Amino acid sequence: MKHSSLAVGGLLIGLIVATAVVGLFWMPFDPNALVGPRLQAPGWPHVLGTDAFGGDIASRIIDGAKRCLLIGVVSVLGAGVVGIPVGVVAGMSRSWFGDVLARAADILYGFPALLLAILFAAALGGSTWTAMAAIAIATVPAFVRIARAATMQVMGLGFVEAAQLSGTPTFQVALRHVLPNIAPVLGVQASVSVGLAILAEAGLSYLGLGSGQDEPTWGRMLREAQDQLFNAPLIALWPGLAIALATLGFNLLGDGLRDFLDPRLREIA
Amino acid sequence: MNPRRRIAALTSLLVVLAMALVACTRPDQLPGEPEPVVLNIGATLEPTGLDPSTVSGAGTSYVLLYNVYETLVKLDEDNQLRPLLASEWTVSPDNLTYTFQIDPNAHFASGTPVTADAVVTSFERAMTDDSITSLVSGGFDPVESVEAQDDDTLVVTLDRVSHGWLYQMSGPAGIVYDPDGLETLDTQPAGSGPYLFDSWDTGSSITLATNPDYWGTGPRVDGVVFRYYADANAMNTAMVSGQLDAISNLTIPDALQLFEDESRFKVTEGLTHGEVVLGFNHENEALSVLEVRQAINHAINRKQLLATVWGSKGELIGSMVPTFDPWFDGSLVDHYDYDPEQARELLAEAGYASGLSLRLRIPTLPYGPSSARVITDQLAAVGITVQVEELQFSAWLEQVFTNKDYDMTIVAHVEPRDIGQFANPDYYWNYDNPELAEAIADADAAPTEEEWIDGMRTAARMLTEDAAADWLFLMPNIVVTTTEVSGIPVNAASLAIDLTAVATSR
Repeated sequence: MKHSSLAVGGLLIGLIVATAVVGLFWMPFDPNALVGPRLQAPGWPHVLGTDAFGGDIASRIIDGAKRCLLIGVVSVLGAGVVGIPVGVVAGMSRSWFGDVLARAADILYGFPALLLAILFAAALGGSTWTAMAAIAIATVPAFVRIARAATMQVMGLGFVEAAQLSGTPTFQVALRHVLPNIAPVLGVQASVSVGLAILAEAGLSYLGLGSGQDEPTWGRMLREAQDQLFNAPLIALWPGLAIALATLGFNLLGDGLRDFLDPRLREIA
Repeated sequence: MNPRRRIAALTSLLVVLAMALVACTRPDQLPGEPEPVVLNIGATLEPTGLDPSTVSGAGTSYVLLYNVYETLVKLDEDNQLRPLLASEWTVSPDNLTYTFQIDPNAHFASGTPVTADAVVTSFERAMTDDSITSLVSGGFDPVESVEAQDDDTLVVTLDRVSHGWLYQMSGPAGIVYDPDGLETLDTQPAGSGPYLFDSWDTGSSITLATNPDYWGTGPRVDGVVFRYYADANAMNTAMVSGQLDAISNLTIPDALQLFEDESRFKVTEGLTHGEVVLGFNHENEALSVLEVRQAINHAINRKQLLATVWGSKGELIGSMVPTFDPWFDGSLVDHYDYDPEQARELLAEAGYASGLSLRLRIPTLPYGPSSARVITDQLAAVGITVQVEELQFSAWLEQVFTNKDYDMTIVAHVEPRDIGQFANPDYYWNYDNPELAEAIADADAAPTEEEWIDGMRTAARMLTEDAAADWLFLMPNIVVTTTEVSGIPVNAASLAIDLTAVATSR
């Protein structure tokens, strides 16, 4: 089957986006209110049951969807805005400057998002924004590397050399010839990164370094569910499933995009 | 990985495993020699240092007090004073002079006898050394002099009557250190208790070995290991799988069902001195108004909170007094009944009819985030918007406890008889009530014990009527042991887990 991963990935992401959009306008219950008896099994009116406090799990999952998407997309956008120009400059530069930029990105690669988040949480207090910033910074090097490698490939192509020889300013070359040609690679990277960012956010929230109590995210819900793991394991299942599906969705979408955009790979597949 | 490299990797893995197995067997153990009986106790609060006189934080005393270190008098599990190093004591009729008879058998682990002179050395260090914590040095505030009359007789003279003083001496303030070991207390505890400090694997465990020359009746085990768990679930599963012999205090009451098998586990529920307090910053404009504080007290359904947060284990207290202190007043428990309507009226009276917004900054301790979630929900119902901020305990200590940067916070106050903290205007609540401070001081210096108890009861009532805080609940002491273990106290009256009488049938 052609493009099956693209279809499945798109479907999963579509489902999550739809959930998030619906959550903006309507929710079964207030996600932060304690609306029923605690530890209710799935049923009616609490479709997925209630958590250890009596909050409606379905509402919290829906509310968490928009926050997870927001964190994933914003942190990847932030990383791209910083990482792509740096990568392109590093790739186009033929002097030592490009190498320095690339090595600097490698050094940043050595700092895991977790460490940055702990630093930020210690200095600024843990919140959705510090988690987002930490994930964004940790994602920057990946963009620098990909953008640089792709740029170097494009720079060797005839039409770029022609443009340069005809005296087109470097900035114009980057904008007109390099960026459009490396865009597909970056798109794939972005999709995969969003999945990773959602996973990273879940990890940070699970450790208490992410969003606050009145801003439920799936990672946070997992953490709250942990204490009930033995008597009410289902509470942990729902947010865990949501995280897994979101990450899978973005990864499949990334894979699918790559197959779709890269004809050479398509032929092999 | 190519096949050859895979074989190499597997081989090296096997070698490492074999080495680990060899390391596990004990070559020093002769056949027939009984294996030492060591109890593994799961605990949550790891100490931050080894000298209870210079380290604040309850973790140090929890392990060392009564186990490695001893005091003149000790607190038994019923919150009563009992002889320890002092076999008996008398108090002069004017309540100012205390005469202690030191047990002539008592000696330190080093062999040096515990003399009145040794007590004087310890007490004078606590009174004069600058590095001593205020919790310890404060215990000596009423003391005028400490003298050794002879080897076994110690006379302590107070400059004012203090009914609470002797009680303080049963805690870390009253520890008698080996005078020869004072220089190295940070690394090598030197006491007279039934256990010797053996080792501390930071972040993981503390090992105590039984003192073979203990002067009193010691435990019937060869040692204990306190194993520290950051995650309560990990501790519970370790207990279920048999890696632990006891859990010193269960922090997820919902997990009790793991220990229902009576052929394997024994569960006891006792009392503690841990009042879980919703503290108000009295410098906050809204919270400085009595009606607002009363409104919050009316708005929170503490019974429901206890059910949600701590599985209805523990007690409701209504003031800063645990149920087993003599001045506990049951009528304060319902002084502010759950009444959202009245809460709204009180808020309107105070000028906050249109609502109020407060920051609740809490430590990420087992009771913190869960209590906050319930409180946020219940206060929202009366028009108070609560923004919850969670802090790691170290950050909480700095920002909330030290810098007082908060509106409301939640923390358990575990020190015994700590109502006096409300008399200190510099404490993190910024609660400045000279009348209360005077009431507590007067009660402590009252001519008779009855008047002392009455006075303390009055002080507790003053606190409640002024809604100085919202006392959410009293933490229970839920101890889980295997059926083989006996002698772990049911109540946690003192800061210590007293393992003097511990035994196992293993």
